[in-house]
Amino acid sequence: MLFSTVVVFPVHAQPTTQPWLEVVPSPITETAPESFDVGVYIRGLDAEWELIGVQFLLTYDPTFIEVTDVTIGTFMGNTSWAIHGTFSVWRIEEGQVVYGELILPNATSGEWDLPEFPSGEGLIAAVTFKPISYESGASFDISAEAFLGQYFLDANTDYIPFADPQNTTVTYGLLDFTYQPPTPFAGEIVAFEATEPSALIGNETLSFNTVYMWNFGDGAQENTTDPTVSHIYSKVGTHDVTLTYYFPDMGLTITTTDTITIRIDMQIALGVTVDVGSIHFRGEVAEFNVLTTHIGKTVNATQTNAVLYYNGTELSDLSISVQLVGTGLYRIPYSIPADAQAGTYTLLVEANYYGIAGTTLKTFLVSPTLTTTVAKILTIENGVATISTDIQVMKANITAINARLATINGDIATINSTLGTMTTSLSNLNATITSINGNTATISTTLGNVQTKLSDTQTTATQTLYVASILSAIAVILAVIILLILRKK
Amino acid sequence: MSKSINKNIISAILGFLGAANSLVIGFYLLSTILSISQIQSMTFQSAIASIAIGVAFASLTYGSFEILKGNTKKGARIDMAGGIFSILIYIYYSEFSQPSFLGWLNPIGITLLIPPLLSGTIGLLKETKLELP
Repeated sequence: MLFSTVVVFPVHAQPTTQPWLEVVPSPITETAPESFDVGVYIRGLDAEWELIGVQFLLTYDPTFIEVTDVTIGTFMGNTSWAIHGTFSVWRIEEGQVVYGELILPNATSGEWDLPEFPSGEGLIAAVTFKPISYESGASFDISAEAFLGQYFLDANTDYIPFADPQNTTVTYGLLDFTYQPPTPFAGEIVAFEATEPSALIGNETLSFNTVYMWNFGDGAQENTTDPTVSHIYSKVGTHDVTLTYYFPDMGLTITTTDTITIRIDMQIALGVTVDVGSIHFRGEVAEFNVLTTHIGKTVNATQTNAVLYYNGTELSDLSISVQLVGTGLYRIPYSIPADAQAGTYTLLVEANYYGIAGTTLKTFLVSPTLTTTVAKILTIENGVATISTDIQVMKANITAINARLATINGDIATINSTLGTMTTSLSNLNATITSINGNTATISTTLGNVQTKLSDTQTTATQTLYVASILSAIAVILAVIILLILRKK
Repeated sequence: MSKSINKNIISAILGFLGAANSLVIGFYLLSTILSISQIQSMTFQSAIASIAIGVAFASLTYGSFEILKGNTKKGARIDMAGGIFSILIYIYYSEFSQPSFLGWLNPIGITLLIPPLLSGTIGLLKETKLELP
């Protein structure tokens, strides 16, 4: 315990004004490391109070700040009165700093034979704080409170009455962000601006090292150290924008969220691109592709209709066949009937995207037969053949094109169909030999059975087998006859 | 020329004929397997046919030479065994192989198998008669 708590009333005449303590933050010039000083000043001191000692209890909210250093002030140690020196002591506890300083007396006489007693005002001590947390809009005081009921001690070791201290308040700034324009269009630049984290300490402002981590709610993210950022939305609708403040010096993150509604600009049409190929064939499993875009980016249409026309009349509504395969990308499979009319077909595609529409049409030819002399079946899977021609690779239902196995030469099979003659490897037809009759083999395939003559060598072998059989029969008969003759002899 | 010599000659000729027949059957089997190999791989079948025909041909040829050399009993037994082996080959490639290679040749194909059996039978019968009192 530094000072006694015994109160002794002063015997000399009291000055009319009472001294007081004032908590004053120092001007803050640096942001890294994030710290600030608070000075505890004595004000309004009359020399007639014969002040020789000061003590104070500085309190603060330990949730938000912590003390890193305490510095002795210049007032008590002023050589005008502290001719024998001073003695200072302080203790730091959670949420408070206890400080005391005494002007030393004459070491020989034990009397405070000072040339003059302290007067005026000055810095008793400075306390350095460091923020350890942040809360949007939080506020607390740093107060110089009476310690054991008194602040000041006079030369008679009596307590000096004092006026109320003047404290200071720390207020954290709100963490939030705004954006402009308030209701932007898709494709329009949206400017976001975050409020910068700060702490108002008295009249001084403390800044924080901050990383702004933006999540725009449409999958896009951006991290900056600048509180302003811009973003362009391509998707219409409401998006949740999340801003996370990251304080690297405190290892702290604080998140704030807001919603933004993106409207569609009705003046910009929806882009609809259709690819139907140039020529298709009866029985072919054709595939049409549709791409919907808005302001240069693929978007999923809210509605897509596709209608196939032939010779000026609607042939088929393919809307229910439209399949989404990727953002804004659709496929429309269509099996061209085996009895389809040859000629030009037109596919009309209409798409809608939040009220804006886009339309396009494409034409293609349907040919009764392949217009190529080199048509090969590459694979047959689930009844659908992948056919390679001079101009394209296409798919066709083998039943629809009435594919039939015609001949087999080696491992190459020739197939007749309504599209024309094609070839393929026997391995594609799951060919198996079901029977062999002399030099003829019966082969079973997925496209039917066929009989084929085997090699010339094999034909010779077959003939030899016949001859050998006959010769053997004759030889056996002759042998039996000879044996019978020999037996009679 | 004695009766036994004549019978030995007949037995040997039938044995050689049986050997020739086994070659003809082998030629047919291998040429057929080779012809369809592009459609259906039959490596195992061709190996089995080659070995079986080789065994049948060798045994019939050897048995027939033994008969000619006067080892009638031994030669006849070998020819009989070769004949039975040829029958087994024929039955396998006629009834059990997939596809059937020789099924189309029935019943005329049976005549290919009779000479070696008859060769063995004649040789064994002759031996029996000589032992009669």
